[in-house]
Amino acid sequence: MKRSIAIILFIHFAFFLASAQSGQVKGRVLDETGAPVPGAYVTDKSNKVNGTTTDLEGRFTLIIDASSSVEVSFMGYSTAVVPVGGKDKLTVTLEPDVQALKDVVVVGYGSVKKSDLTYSVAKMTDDQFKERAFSTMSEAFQGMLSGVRASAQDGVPGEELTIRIRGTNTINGDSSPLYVIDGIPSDDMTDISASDIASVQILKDAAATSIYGARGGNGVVLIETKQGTASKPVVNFGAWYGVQQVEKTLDMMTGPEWIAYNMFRRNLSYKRAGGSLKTSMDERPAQYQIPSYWADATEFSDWQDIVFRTAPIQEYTLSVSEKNKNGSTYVSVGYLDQDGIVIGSSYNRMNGRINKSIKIGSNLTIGLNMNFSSSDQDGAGASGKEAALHHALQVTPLMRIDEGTRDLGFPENIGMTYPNPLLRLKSTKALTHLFNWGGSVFAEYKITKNLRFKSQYGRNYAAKTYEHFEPGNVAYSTGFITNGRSYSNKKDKWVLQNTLTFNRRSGRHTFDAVLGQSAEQLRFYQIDATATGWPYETVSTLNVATTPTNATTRRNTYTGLSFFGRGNWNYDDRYLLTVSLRYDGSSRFGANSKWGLFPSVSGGWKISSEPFMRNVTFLNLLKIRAAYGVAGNDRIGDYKYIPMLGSYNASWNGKKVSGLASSNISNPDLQWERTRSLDLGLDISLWKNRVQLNADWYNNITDNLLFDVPIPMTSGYPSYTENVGSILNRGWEVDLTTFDIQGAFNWQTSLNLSHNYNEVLDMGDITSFTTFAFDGVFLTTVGGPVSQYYCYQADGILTAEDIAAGVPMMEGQREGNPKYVDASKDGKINEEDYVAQGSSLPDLTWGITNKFSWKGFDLSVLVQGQVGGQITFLGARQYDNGTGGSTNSTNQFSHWLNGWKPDFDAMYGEDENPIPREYLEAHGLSMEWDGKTPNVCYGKYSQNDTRRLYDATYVRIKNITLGYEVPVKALHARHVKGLRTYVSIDNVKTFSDYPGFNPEANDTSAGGNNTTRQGIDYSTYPLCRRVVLGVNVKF
Amino acid sequence: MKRILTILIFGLILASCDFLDLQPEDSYTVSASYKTQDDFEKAIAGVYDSQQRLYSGADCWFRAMIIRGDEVRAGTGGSSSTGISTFLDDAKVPILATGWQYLWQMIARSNMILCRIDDADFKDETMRAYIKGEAYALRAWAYYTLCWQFGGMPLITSEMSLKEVRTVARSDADATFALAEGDYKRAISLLPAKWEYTADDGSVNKDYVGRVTRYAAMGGLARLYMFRSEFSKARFYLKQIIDSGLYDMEENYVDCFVDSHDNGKERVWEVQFSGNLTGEGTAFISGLLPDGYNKEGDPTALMPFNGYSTAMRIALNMMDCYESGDIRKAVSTVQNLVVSGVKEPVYSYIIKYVHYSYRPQARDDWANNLPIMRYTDVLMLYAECLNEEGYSAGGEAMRILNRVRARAGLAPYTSAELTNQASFRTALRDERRVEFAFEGLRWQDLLRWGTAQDAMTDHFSIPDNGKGYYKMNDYQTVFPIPYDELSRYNDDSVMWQNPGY
Repeated sequence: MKRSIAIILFIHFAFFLASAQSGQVKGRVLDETGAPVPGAYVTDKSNKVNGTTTDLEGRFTLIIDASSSVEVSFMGYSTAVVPVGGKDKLTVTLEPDVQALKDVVVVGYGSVKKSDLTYSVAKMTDDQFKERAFSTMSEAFQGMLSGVRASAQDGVPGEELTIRIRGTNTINGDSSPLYVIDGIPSDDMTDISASDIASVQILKDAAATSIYGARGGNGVVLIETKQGTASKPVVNFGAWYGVQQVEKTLDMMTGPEWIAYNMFRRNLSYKRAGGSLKTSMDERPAQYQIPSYWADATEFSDWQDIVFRTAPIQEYTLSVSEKNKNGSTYVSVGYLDQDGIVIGSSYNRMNGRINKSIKIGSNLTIGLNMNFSSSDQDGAGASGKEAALHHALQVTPLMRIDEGTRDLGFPENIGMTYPNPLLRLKSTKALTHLFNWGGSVFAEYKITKNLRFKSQYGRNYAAKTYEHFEPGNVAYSTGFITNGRSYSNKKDKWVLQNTLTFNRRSGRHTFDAVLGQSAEQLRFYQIDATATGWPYETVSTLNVATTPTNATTRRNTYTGLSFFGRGNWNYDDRYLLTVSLRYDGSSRFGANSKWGLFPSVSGGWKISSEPFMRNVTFLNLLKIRAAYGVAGNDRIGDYKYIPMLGSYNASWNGKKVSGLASSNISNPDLQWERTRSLDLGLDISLWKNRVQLNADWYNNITDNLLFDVPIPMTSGYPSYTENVGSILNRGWEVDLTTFDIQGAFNWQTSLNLSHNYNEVLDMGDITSFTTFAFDGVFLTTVGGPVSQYYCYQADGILTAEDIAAGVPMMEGQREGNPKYVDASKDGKINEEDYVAQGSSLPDLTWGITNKFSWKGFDLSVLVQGQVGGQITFLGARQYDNGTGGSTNSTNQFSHWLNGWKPDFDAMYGEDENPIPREYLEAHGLSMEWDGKTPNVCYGKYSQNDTRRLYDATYVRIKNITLGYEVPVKALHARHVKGLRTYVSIDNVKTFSDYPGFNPEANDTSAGGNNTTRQGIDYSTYPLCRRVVLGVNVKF
Repeated sequence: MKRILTILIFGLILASCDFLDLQPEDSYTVSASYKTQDDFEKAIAGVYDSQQRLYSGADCWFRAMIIRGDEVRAGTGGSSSTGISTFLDDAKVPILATGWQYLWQMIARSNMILCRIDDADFKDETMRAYIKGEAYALRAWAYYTLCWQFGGMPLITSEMSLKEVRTVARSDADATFALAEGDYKRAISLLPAKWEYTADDGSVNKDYVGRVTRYAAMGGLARLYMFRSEFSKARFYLKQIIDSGLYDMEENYVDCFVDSHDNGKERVWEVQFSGNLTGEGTAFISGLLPDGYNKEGDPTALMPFNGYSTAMRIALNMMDCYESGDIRKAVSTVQNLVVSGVKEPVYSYIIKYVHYSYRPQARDDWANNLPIMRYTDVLMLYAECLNEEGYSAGGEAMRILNRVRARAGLAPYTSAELTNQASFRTALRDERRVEFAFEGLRWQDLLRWGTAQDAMTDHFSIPDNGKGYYKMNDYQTVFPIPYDELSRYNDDSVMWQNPGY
């Protein structure tokens, strides 16, 4: 900013200064280690047109007035101003500028000063990752970044948050962003330690992402890991320990409530089957009998309490950082160990990293980034459909913790055989071992002082092993037969990137350009085997199983080839222009469309740098920008355009025969999804940067949408993959940072708001389609957002008056059943009355961080949330349905005790009333109607109605951290250079109307797919509240 | 350096054509197939696979055929067949959508074969004719099945583009049955009488046994005519099956279902399964018994693993249909089961297919074939034709009926008992009800006799089936077109819902 003002001053006073005395000054620019700094800008402070850059030895020569000063600037360092003072030789030593590092934003294949950005980029830096504790890196994103929706869809330890940038750009493709880690593109960011992060930048508009061409359409997350910085080796040690507890439990029936309710249901069912309550109990059909031990039962199990636990979590990290004139080194190791809040689940991870660069001579730098991570995650089969957690909500409180397996047996006649969730969690293995090894070597050669060539070869090897083992005792899904599955896969990837970078400053013009090429190959291989029956269950590997049931191997390859270029032009620090172009070829595209072109153009105008703004002193920066770009999404699966034969085996005469049939329709035109994005932005800094505001408005239109168009089954295929249709994402984002109080006491506030509007514009031949997740229906229709809930609109309950008045009903509905709105107005209630109910996509996501510091203390409070969006509690179809007309006796939400009932005395006579009055009285319970809960014991109703749809609006106190920087001098510990301790609480409290565990839940294992079936909670692993005590020591 | 770069870039551009052109490494492609005899043998197996899937799940389509009629309790079933037993079904019943999908898959796969087979290289021309015959027979069966269940269908008989498929509107039932009829006739002219043959070296090859034969196709066609009450046409084909001499009734009723007699003399057409955890077994049979059979070594357990909470309970009125002494009752049903430690005093479960020589190792590992048409059915239909064409006291129809009763351990009817066409008709219909109980035929029979509504009214009148709480409406002689399919078409003028739903 200072420089901008200086330039303005110069323009007006250059003439006056031009007449002064001048002489030649020779000098040298060194960095803090004494190494020469080539390419630094050296200018006459009083006449900025007069300037040069240092050569490879850091030397410069400048004709300058003896009374003036030399100003030396270099990216990453504070600008140094040295008065000439009549000398003809000067040595200028540059100091690293911490603030400047923060102000540099890494964009694809280069970096830009934040104030010179012409596109929309969000950034986080290392201090945001180290001030509190994160078990996974993505956890740090939540509530911190505008335009980035990081949602904790599943609380399984080690699971990354789901990251979506500016809404959902796709219907059937993958909408997750591209990750670029130290220059190497990747599909995920699994198992990176947050403590190794130097910066994360998120490229949001297509002008920024089009440099990544066919892979940039969903946004790009650029992750830079730490490089050595300190001139003397600095050792950092971090440790934290915490305890976790489930954030919330659900309101299920207690033991007596369950007994009362099931006595009632069995009596009623028997009455409805024509029986009499006077008949002796053992003559009733078994399913209607009320076991005699129920009435006297006093010991009950609270299954949620049994399967949840208070679980420890801890992490230790150690790093060494060093930089000298020969290069830099960063070495780190880390270990995280976490027990899940659901018994049996756990996660641990070890990380190691070496980032090294070596200068050979003054023109050549070679470097190496190497890392490994090794993690073990045990999900214990806790989450999802028919999983232990789902059953923990459903099993009767009558089941003791020492029963409920095949061998232990079940309580008599409880109407269910869900195995004991505790024993199931303890004995089921669902172990994922992930080993990642990544290495990249690069060489950077300075061809001339303005031209650099960089070549980088990266290799990444990810090996995953999954072992699942379920002992017969608890194997619900196979009918209590021991079963196991194991698969092992590897992803072997290489990336070769060559770039030529050019920069030149000429008078008021600054040019930067990058030209490059990249090639990439990813090979995937998997072996997968299953078996059943184990003679002894002490060993769980498949080799000792009685019967191997399946063994397959899979193999596929992806290749990509790209050419790209970008040019930046900065005129007088007032006008900024960037153009870029990428040409991408991919093995995933059809024969007729192998290559695609992705251009972008963006510009910025720093109004605050204009001469006419010079008197507006409170304004430090006022910039408007506009960006337009094209990017693509190539995550459409491999070989999708080729018609394949699937294996469809049959049997003849008791022998298996191999059968093959066409499994998809070919499409040689298949190509990437194309996002065209327009972004208008405004950057303002006021009052010495005490108020900083970034605002963006964007309009993204994605067309060529890849569509597994659901097609008539009469074609023999369920869907056809083609590029049709388009989708709109339009929204705005605001980031506001204010330094409210500065001084001994500091108060800083950061607010981010993001609004995204999603609309399907076109889907080719069709205008809408529905997809299903069990009995849930989802609609994607032109004119509405992707993945709308599609169901009946429930409208209270059917009253006798309604029925008398002839309101439209389903065939078979009775008084007390849920009443539905006849949306089609045809006098009938059927599927035509489904109403689109909106989607899970929120209207607004927000986060606000308040930071206070006083002396050595710092306090930060992060509150985040979303407004709008809905969630369907699909998992509750089994425990929020009153169990309907079925015979099972799963536990229910307690409000079902108070469902609507007819006047049984009038219906059956007082002595045949199915309500167990005696038991109710003895236990102080009531089955009076609560005025809301419908009658589902008879009649007809749908579960696919608005009763299980909830507003997902929530406000969460996400984190409170209190830290104290111990004054190290007071410690008299010679080697300790810094010491910070902190207490941090995550997920302090969530305010929400949602009755399930977590309003952000989205279960992709139980019918969801993250695109057209979003926002499903199926007894998803809940979030935990975590209290952490941590320390960071610097030696 | 620049030169190296230039070479590198241009080199890569040149290499790129191959670099980006990848073929699947772990999957076969269509373009490489449908060329040789071997390709078509695998392709026809693919059609059998779709048919198999209608019978292979614990809650498969075949189960829905049993649930619909008056054989099981109102309300029995499970969530995927909600409403089928109570006639409160709507277009969203999942089990019907699944059936629809596999039936159309059979048609599409058959069409692909029929469109391409004439241009293929066959080393054995008879096999070309056989495979064509199979494709016609399986397509005919699929169209017939779709039509009696859902009404008139779009007639698609070639490989069509998606655009074309979308323009073919539903035709009426007559046209659909006519298509199936033509296909069956073509199949009959092409198919072998049996798949067992003697090779040149004298060895008997039975590897192909279980594929559709000429007589299976005749049985299918006869059933179509029966559904249309075209008795003389039906009789013509049924007679040919009888006269072929290849089939006979099993002496023991249980052998009609046990896997050791698979593809035996009773079995005219059946869906093939095999065990040994090949993935080609059926779970349908596991789905018949309730939770609780999970005790290893428990002699009362009928299966080595747990059943399903959705097991069907037999209607009390169905149990009353068995005359005393009928040995079919014990073969087909089980009473007084002990479930979760409690003896079931009232309800019975279906065990008709739970007779095995190969003990399944998993729920979906049953090797028992499931019947499409038994020889007894051929005889009974033949007897029905004879009676409908003219009652003959002590005639062949009566002999057939009594033969069936004799195997069941029941006394024969005399001409004094069944004195006319109507009384014989009643007796034969009652006999069919127990002989073919739980074989997916009852609902079809009720529809073709036109007695479905009367039968369901009787069924729903007993207290255990709701005592008049449920009822069958006029329009419920066909199922609703699956809602999912309607939404895929999204065009009422091509694919419309059946009236009433």
